[in-house]
Amino acid sequence: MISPKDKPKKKPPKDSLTLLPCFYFVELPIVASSMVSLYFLELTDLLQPAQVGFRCHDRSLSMPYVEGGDELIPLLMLLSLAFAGPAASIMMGEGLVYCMQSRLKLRPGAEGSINAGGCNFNSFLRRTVRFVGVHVFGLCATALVTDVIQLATGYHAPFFLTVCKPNYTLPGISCDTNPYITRDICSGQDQHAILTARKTFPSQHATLSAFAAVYVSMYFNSTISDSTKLLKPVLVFAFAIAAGLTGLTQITQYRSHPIDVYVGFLIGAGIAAYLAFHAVANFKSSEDAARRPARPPPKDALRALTQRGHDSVYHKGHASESNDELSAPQRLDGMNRQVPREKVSLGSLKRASVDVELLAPRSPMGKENMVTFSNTLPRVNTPSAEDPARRHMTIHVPLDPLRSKQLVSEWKQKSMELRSMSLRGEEGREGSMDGSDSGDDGGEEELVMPSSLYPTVQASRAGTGAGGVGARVVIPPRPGAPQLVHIPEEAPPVSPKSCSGARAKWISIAEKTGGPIPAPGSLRAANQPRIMQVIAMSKQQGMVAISPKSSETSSSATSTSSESPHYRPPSERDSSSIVTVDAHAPHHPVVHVPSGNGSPWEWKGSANGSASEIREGYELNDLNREASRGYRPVKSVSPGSSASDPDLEPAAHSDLASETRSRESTLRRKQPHLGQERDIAPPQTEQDPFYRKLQAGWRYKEGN
Amino acid sequence: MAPDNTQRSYSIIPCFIFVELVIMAGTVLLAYYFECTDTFGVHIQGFFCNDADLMKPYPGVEEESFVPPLILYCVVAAAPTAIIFTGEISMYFIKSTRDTLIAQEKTIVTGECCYLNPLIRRIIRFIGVFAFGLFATDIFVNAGQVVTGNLTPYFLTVCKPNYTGTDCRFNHQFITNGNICTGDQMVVERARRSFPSKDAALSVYSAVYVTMYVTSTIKTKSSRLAKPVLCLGTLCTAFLTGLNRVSEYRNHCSDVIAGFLLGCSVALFLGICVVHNFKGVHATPRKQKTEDYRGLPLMTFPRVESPLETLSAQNHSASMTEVT
Repeated sequence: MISPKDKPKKKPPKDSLTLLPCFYFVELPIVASSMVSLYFLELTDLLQPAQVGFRCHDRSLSMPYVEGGDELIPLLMLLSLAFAGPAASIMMGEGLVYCMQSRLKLRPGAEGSINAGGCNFNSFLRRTVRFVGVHVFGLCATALVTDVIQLATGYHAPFFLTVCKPNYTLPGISCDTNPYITRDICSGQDQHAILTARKTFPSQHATLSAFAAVYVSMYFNSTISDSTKLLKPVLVFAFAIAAGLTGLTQITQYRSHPIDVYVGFLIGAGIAAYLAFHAVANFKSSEDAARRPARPPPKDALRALTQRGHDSVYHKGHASESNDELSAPQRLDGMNRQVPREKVSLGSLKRASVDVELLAPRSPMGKENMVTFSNTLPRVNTPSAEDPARRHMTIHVPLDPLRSKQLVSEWKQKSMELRSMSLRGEEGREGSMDGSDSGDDGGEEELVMPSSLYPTVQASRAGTGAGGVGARVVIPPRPGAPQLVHIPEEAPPVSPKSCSGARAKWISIAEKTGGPIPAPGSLRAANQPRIMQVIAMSKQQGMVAISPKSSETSSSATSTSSESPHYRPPSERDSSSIVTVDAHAPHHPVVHVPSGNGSPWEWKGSANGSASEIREGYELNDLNREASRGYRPVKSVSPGSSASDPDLEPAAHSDLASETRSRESTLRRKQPHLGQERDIAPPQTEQDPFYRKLQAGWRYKEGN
Repeated sequence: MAPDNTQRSYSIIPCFIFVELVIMAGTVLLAYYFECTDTFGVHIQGFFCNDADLMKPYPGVEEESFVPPLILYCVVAAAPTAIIFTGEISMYFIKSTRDTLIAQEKTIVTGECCYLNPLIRRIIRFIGVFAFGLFATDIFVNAGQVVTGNLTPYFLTVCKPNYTGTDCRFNHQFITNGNICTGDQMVVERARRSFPSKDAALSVYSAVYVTMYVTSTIKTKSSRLAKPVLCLGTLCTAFLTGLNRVSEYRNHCSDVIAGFLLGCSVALFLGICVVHNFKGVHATPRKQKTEDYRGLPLMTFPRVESPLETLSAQNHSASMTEVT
C-alpha cells in the first residue's frame, strides 16, 4: 500500500506507448472536427436560422445598426482574445510553476515526465498542452453550442427592424389587424446583416468571454498559492471584468438583448466549470486526483467497528513498514492526532456499544469474548492443539489476585514456548506434529494455569484440529489464527447462517474499506505505557537467555513496538494483524453463544455474585490480558525467559532460531499474497482479492 | 498541538510590501480614477423619443436621498472593519477561542525583533481583503456604468432633450445622438450612470462579507438567536438600501439586481476562495485530515489495543446500556 506521501519524490520518466497515438488519433480529430463544424456554422450560410415572427414597429427591435466595421469587439478579435488571454496566462503560470519546482518543494501531485516516441515530455509540456488544449476545445465547443442555439431559436437582434426595413404595405400584411408578422417581408438589401440579426440568442460574445474568464479563473484559483492573498483576486477580477464588459458592450451596441447576454454568461460559465472539473480535474495532476477515492461513510456502528479494526490494522502495518517510524516524534504525532479522534468518537462509542448490546442481549460474556477476539487475534500465533481437559480444569481454579500475577508470568513464558514450537510446526508441515506435541507437553506441565487466563489462552490456542466448523470458514486462513476456531467449540449451536452472514458482511466491508489509511503509528503510541510495564514485568521474570540479537532487541523493547525487526518483520505483523480484521467478522457467532455454555467467564459472575467481585475478576482478567498482549511484544525477546522452567529451557533455546526461521518462512508463505498486492494493487482494489487469496491459502493449508 | 507554533519567515514582509501593497495601491488608484476624475468618459447611450421609462421625476441630488452616499460609504466601510476588529480581539482574549486561534495560526518571526502574532495577521488579512474587495466592487460598478451608459429613470427629466426636425416623428424612433440635452451638464452626466447600482453593490458586498465573517468565526453556544439576528439584520439593511434606490427613481430594478449579484459574488469569492471562510492558513490541511478521520469509523474500543482499556470500555458501555 503506497500512500501518497510514500511516493518517491523524483519520479523517473515513464514510458508510454499510448500517449502519442491517443493524442494524434483521438484528441486532435475531436478538436479538428469541432473547428471545422464551427467554421461551417459561423462563417457560411449552410444552415439557415429558424423563422420567427416579430411585432410591427417593435421598439426593442428598432435599435440602430452598428456596422460590422464599427463594432467595438468583432468576432474574430473576440475569438483571438478569448484564446490568447487564457492561453498566455496558463503558459506563463505553468512556466513559473515549472521553474520554481526545483526551488520549491515538489508538490505531492506533481507529474513526472513521460517518454513517448523517443521524445521526453516533461510536466511543463504535458500540463500546458493539456490545459491549453482543453481550453481550445472548450472555446470551440462553446461557440458550437452557441451557434446551434442561435440557429434553433432564431430570435431577432435589437437592430433587426433597422436592417430588415420591413415592407408593411405588402398585401396580406396589416399591422392594424394583426400586429404579429410571421412572413418574411424584409426589404433591406444587406442580406448578411439580416442573417446576423436573426442569430442573437445567446450572445456569442458573452458565451465565449464567460468561458474564457471562468476557465482561466479556475486555473488561477487552483494554481496560485495562498501565501499572497491579493494576487489571485486581482487576476480573477481582471478577467471577470474583461468578460463582463465584453458582454455589456454587446448590449450597448444594440447587438444583443440583455437577456441574451446573461444567458450567454451562464452557458459559457457552465461549460467552463464542467471542463475544468471533469476534463482537467480542476487543474490538478491526474495521478493526484485518481489517488483519492471517496470513502463511503460507514453505515452502522457495527460495521464501523469492524472497519475500524481493519483500519487500525493498517495503521499498524504502516507503523511497521519502516523502522524510522518508530522514532519518538512520529509517535508524538500519533498521540496528538489521536486525541481529537477519541473525543469525537465518544458518541459513536456509545452507539456502538448499544448496537453490540442489541446483538448480544444475553450476557456480557459474549461481548467480552468478542473483545478477546479483537484484541488477541493479531498476536495469537500459538496454534498448539487444544487440550479440552485442561480447559475445563482451569475453569475451576479459584481466583487469587496475588497469585494471578505470578501465574501470568508463568503463563507468559509458557506461551512463548508454545508459540515458538507451534511456529516451528507451522513452518514445516511434517514438523507440525512434533511442534504441537511438544507444545502440549509444555502445556501439560503447567496445569496450574490460571483460569482467568483462560479466555485469552483459549483464544490463542484453539485447536488446529478443531477446524472445519462453520465459523472457521469466515476466518482468513492462517495456521496461527485459530482463535476463531474456539468459537465453534464454545458454541456448537452457531448456525451456519450467521456465519455466512458474517462472511457476507465481511466481504462487503472489505469492498468498502479501501484507500490509503493515514496516521501510522498512532495506535501504538497510545499503548506505550502499558507495553512498557509489561516489558518490565517480563524482564523481571528473567530474560536469562537473551538471544544474540538481544542488544538491539532490548533496546527496541524500550520503545513502543518492542519487537526487533529481525524477529518480527513488519510484513509479518501485517499478516497477523490482518487476521484481526477478519476476526471482527465473526461477531455474530460469538454473540450468539448461549451464556453459561461452559464459558470461562461464567465463574466470575456466578461464583462471586457481588459486583465488586466481578470487578475484581475483570481486573484480573485485565492483568492477564496485559500479559497476553505483553507476550507479543516480548515474545521475540525472551523465548529464553523460560529459565524458570528448567525442563523447557533447552528447547526454548533451540526454538529461538527455529522461531526466527519459522517466522520468516511464515512471512514468505503469507506475504507473497499480502506483500505483492500491497505493492502492486492500488489500495482500493486490494481488499477483495486479498480476501480471496487468503481463502485460497486457507484451503491449501487445510489440504495439508 | 505542538507548542512550537512559531515560524520563521523572511519573505512575508517583502511579499506583503511588493505584492499586496502594490496590488492594493493599483486598485485604489483605479477606483480613484473612476470615481473622482473623468478619465473614462461615459458611453453616450441613445434613447427612445419620449420613453416613459426615462421620464420619472427627478428626486434631487444624491445627497438629498434617504441614504446619502457619504453616510452609506462610511457605514459600508467602517462597520465591517469595526466588527472584524472587535471580533478578532475578543477571540484573541477569550481563552477558549484563543486556543483554536493559535492552533490555526502561526506566529511569524521576521528578522530579529518582529513578531507577527495571530491577532495581527488575522486582522490585517481580513480587513485588507475586505478593503480590497470594496475597491474592487467599486471598480466593477464604475466599469459597468461607464461602459454601458445606461440611463437612469429620471434621465429625460433632467436632460430636457431638444428634439429637432424629424427626431420624434415616430414613437419608436431611436435617438442615437445623445448630445441634445439642454439640462445641467453635471446632472446629465450623473444620470447616465445607472447600471449597475453602486449603492446596492457596495452595501450587499459589505453585508455579505460581514455575514460570512460572523457566521464562520463567532461561535456562541449560549445565545442561539444573536448570530442570525445580526446576520439577517445586516443583509436586510443592505437589501433595503438597494430597494430604496428603486423607490426613489434613482435606478431601475435591473440595475439594483445586477448590483446585488455583483456585490454578492465578489464577497463570496473573497470569502471562500481567498480567505478560506475566515479560517487560518493551516486550517485547510488540518481539516482534510479530520475529514479523513471522519471517514474512518469513529470508534474507540476496537482500535484500542490494550485489553484493559477495551474491557473498561466494554464494561462502561455495558453498564450504560443496562442503565438505560
